[in-house]
Amino acid sequence: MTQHERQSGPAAVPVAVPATESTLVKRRDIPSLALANGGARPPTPGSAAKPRIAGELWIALQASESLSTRLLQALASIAQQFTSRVSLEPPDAILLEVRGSLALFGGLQKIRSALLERCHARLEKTAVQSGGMTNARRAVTLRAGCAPTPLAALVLARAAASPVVSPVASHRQLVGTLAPLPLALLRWSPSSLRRLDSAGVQSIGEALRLPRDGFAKRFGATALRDLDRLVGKNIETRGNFTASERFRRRLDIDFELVTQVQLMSLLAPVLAELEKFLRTRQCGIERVSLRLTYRHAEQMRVVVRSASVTLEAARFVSLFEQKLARISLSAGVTCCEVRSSVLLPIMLPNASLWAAGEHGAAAGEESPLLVERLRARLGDEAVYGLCLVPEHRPERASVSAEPSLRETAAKWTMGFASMGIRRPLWLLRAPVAMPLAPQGLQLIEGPERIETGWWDGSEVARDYYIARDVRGAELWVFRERESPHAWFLHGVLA
Amino acid sequence: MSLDRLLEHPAIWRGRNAAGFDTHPTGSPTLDAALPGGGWPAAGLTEILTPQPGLGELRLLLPLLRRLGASGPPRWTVWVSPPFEPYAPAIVGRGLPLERQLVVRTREPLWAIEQALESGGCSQVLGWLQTATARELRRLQWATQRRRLPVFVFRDQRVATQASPAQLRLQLTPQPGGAALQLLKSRGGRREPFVLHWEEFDDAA
Repeated sequence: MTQHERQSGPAAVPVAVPATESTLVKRRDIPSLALANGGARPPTPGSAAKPRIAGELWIALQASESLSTRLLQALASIAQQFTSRVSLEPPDAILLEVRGSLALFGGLQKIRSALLERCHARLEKTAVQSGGMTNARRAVTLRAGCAPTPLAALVLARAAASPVVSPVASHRQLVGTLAPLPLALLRWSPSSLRRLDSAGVQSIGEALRLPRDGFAKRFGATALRDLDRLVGKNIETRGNFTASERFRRRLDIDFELVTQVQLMSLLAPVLAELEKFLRTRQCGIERVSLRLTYRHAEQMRVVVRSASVTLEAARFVSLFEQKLARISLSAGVTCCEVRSSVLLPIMLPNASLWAAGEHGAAAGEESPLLVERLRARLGDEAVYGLCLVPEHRPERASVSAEPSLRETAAKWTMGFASMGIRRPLWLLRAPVAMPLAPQGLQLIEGPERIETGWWDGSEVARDYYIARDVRGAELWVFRERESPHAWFLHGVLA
Repeated sequence: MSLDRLLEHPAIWRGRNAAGFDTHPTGSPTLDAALPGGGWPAAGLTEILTPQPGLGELRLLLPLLRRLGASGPPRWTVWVSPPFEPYAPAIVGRGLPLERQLVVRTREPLWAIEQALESGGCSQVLGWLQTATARELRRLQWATQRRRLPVFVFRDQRVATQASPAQLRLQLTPQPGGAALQLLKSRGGRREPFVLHWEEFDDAA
């Protein structure tokens, strides 16, 4: 039986089994159906007169408010300490099947209280970390509900009072517990709830008493399926939650590392191991962080970031070399730990016959490589691309952007050239004030009036000219329309 | 497509021309005639000296930037420590692909230029140098030859008297509507100064 339970994982085909007499008789011949049944023993033909509930026992953990996906996954990994069958019910609940774990952990009550305790501890930790959000976070509480079907467990958890339906609950006991609860706990759409309400149906029991055909016709087959799942007439198969993988390797060193070269010689094999780890999973990463612990227990974190998702150890080695060369180790390093960022699926590229750029070969991986190598030494802000913004104020029309070779659609300034308006190739970071009467400047084009931005507080009202100075450079200058009509230099035409 | 246009394609190798090295047309007949090989060197260091930045040195290169930057697979045109901010509307307005421009701000421009060359991820490199020794420039010239890429460095005209390993070295002095150019160093170009009018370039654009 336990063997069967283990197999009914995510691979199990979702099979809706209406628990009528005839189907149950057939089950003996179809092993896969028996598996979908959570390992329930196939009934003997004589005993199959009554519908049975699958031998499952579900605990639902319902939070009092929506949780982030990350937090929900954290709770799910806590739940995985008790069973392998955990599934998420976004945005605010998780479900776990614990029938097989009852004996090991000493009963349902013990599992339930241990689970709640650990999950609350996790939530409190998040609240402390998020600082300012403390008050809001503290309000998050979890309620548990236990029932033989996942949906019933959820409904019981959502209902404030959650009596524990005993693991051996029969169909009738389950229905009896659920019957007085309001239908709203099923979280159907407001419109169908309104229609049910106007028909005088408010509780789950009343809905269960309605004729099936009519119910499906009026409120939809989905609603009927929900009811069937609720009371176990219809088996619900749920995919199992799998925790996302990361790479993490900790090296405790017997001696102290004092130079970067020593550190790199230690790091290189770990990064090679990381590449192997990623290659077997066909995944890549964007970041690797290295945590160094000094002799005096201080810690330092070094993060390298690749410009594209990659799995090559050589790239991370060269990035770490660049980064570590600029860091001085304040004391001997006694421990270092390498951690990867989230694994992302990657398409491994085909190698080109030609070197990049040779014979018109595509640049391929080299272009992001250049950006990341420059950034590793100069910092992220020192290397950037350009982006066009549809904005009339000249200083806002051009902004620095994340470098990417992808073509952008913004071609609207192409119109400038056809209108005979020239823009400077160089813009000063901020306009520079010039002497009141720009001596020696010869205005050759203009004025072009730019008057905009009154709505957001940085209004400009300027007359722009193209001027030539004594040395022959063409400058882009403007004169404020407001008194005292000061002159500013704003760009160079080149 | 005319034969001339076809032959301009960077992937076409035309055998050895008179100057003994490949060139890219400059977009101006006057300049083409003056430069050895009839254009900018396709691989090598070109030094442009001006009295101050922003006198038209970039305008001289615009046709080449357009041609090399926009053709072929996407690769960077790298701007290493430019004196001002390159202005996106003008770059788009003059037909350069905005997404292929990469600006690098650094106090070690020579290192950045060398990295750009070695990466194989760029089609051309523009660099503004404050100080550079002949030895450092020789290293750059060597790298450009090896990676077969054009590199243009812009320097102040005060360094005109210093020796330079650059393949082509020219001095630019602005004039109304154009510029006076003199080749300080070239492998068989025009010796005497000549005047270039911007209209020639604008026609090519």
